[in-house]
Amino acid sequence: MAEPASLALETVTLRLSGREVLSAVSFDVRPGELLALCGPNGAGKSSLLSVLAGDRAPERGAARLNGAEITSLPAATLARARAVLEQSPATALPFTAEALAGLAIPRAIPPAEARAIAATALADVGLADRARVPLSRLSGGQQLRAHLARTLAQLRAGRQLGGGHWLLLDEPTASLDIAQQIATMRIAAAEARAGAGVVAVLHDLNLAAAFADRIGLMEAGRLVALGPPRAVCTPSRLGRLYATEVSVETGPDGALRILPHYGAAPAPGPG
Amino acid sequence: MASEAADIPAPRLTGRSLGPPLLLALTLVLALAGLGLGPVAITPAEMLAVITGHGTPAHEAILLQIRAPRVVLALAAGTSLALSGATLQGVLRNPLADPGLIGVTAGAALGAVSVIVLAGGATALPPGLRPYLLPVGAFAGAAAVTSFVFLAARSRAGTSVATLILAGVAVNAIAFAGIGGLIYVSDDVALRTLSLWQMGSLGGAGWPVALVALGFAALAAARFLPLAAALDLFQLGERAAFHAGLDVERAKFRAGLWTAVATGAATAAAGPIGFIGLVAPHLARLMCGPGHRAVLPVSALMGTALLLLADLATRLAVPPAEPPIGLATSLIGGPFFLWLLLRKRGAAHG
Repeated sequence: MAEPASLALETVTLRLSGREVLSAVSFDVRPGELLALCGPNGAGKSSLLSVLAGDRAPERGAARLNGAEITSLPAATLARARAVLEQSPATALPFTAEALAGLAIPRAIPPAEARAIAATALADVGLADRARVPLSRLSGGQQLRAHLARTLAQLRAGRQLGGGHWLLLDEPTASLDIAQQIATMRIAAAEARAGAGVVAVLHDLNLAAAFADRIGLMEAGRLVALGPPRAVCTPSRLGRLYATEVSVETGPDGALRILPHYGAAPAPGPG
Repeated sequence: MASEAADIPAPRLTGRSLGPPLLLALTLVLALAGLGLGPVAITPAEMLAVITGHGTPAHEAILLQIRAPRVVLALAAGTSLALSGATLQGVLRNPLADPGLIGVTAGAALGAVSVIVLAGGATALPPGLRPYLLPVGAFAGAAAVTSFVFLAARSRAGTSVATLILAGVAVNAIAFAGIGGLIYVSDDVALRTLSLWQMGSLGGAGWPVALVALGFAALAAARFLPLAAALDLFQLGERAAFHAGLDVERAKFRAGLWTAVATGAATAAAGPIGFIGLVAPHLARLMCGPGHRAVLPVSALMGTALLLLADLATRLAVPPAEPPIGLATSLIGGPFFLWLLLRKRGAAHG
């Protein structure tokens, strides 16, 4: 690549049906990092991801991929640069897991290679033995993982074509058991180590703290904190943000333990 | 665009892989039956005699001037309607989308009737022009309805089955009111042409109509088949399809345009024929799975086979009278539609 890949938001403001869902949000996603977006429901995490994905153009400010306005780029160009796992993805027809995994691989990849990429992605999400099974016969968690395989295959195919720089995941661990949550976060971290900038919307602060290089905390459309987990996840900040008393400890494995106080009286909230 | 890998089934000898060749064989048998059966039966040997120029004049006239264009029109209309149905179902992610049910056929009919009536009766047109003008009118009507349906489907995050079908009821009602109005103001000549055409038949067509329909069908098929990868991506939802690299608006425009062309041409040539676009893609999916690279060609074959079968049934039921072919397709398609609806309801509740 002639110039390093970049993905950046510059004072992005977004309105959806009259309501301001993003207010002057600015940050860069760095290649090779796993960035977790956390915050209460309705804080604007998914809206932020949709601007990064190119679904929506900001009302003010700019979202840029390699310097160009994201929404000005053709869908095929975007698809080579980034892959997206949508929130609660679904298919209208019961494709097999294998067919789904290969669905988003560009045609520029030769068929045999495309099959290999899809098979590898399915194996990575632990569905190698379910390749020929129609989605309608997979569990909810397995379906989500099959869609993750589709997204991974697109990212890796994009990398072979000189792109594949960004991976955007909207609640990739929803509906997964704890082992699968960890497996999914390991996959995301591995893609980051392979050079991709990974942005994941997560509700589980412990998962975010354990795997993310940086955590972005969102509140009412604003990015209120962005930095390494230890710097961002302080009891006072989290307590205020979620209006719930929270303690933060270090576990035996060195990762943060973020524990809400069950049953305790709510801490004084922002509103 | 999706990879080739998406739809290539692994080599295995199951009923699935044998389905399409069997269907092709069945279609050929039905085509032969379409040529041979009727008030005057013609054996394959006699057909061969006609082809080599040794047949009786009667056989030659029946075979070449009546039955052959009929079989060609079944191929054209069956392919057009089935591909339109498969494409609409794919784009709208809705298994009940059918050109007839959602009003595209009615729009085409209104366009065609307008041409017949407002052009002062088809007989008043230069005879060579009629096969072309009628499809143009039908296309305009079909295109108007298709744009409306796509616009209505855009405003929501995925149209519900109910919205689409109810919109179809409304469009059908409006179109038939328009047709009724045109019938009211038409003269005797136009009225006669109109009532013959409106019953829907493969029989009224001579070579010019059949060949024009075949031309449009071939053109549309050539445009539909490359949409297979896009139709697969549409199954993820429009946003995810965009994420995967599909230019969603352009793909929708193409799908809508060629649906209007194909449905318009089929309706102009054979009259309004319902349910082929609903039934054929469903049977194709049962045969070869959901991937559109297989579903599209198999649907076309299935539509042709169904239409040949319906034509044979109407021709042989009460000879020499011929009930409208739409009657036969509705007789198969109506119960099938009900079964789909009830099965869907069962799935939603279970």
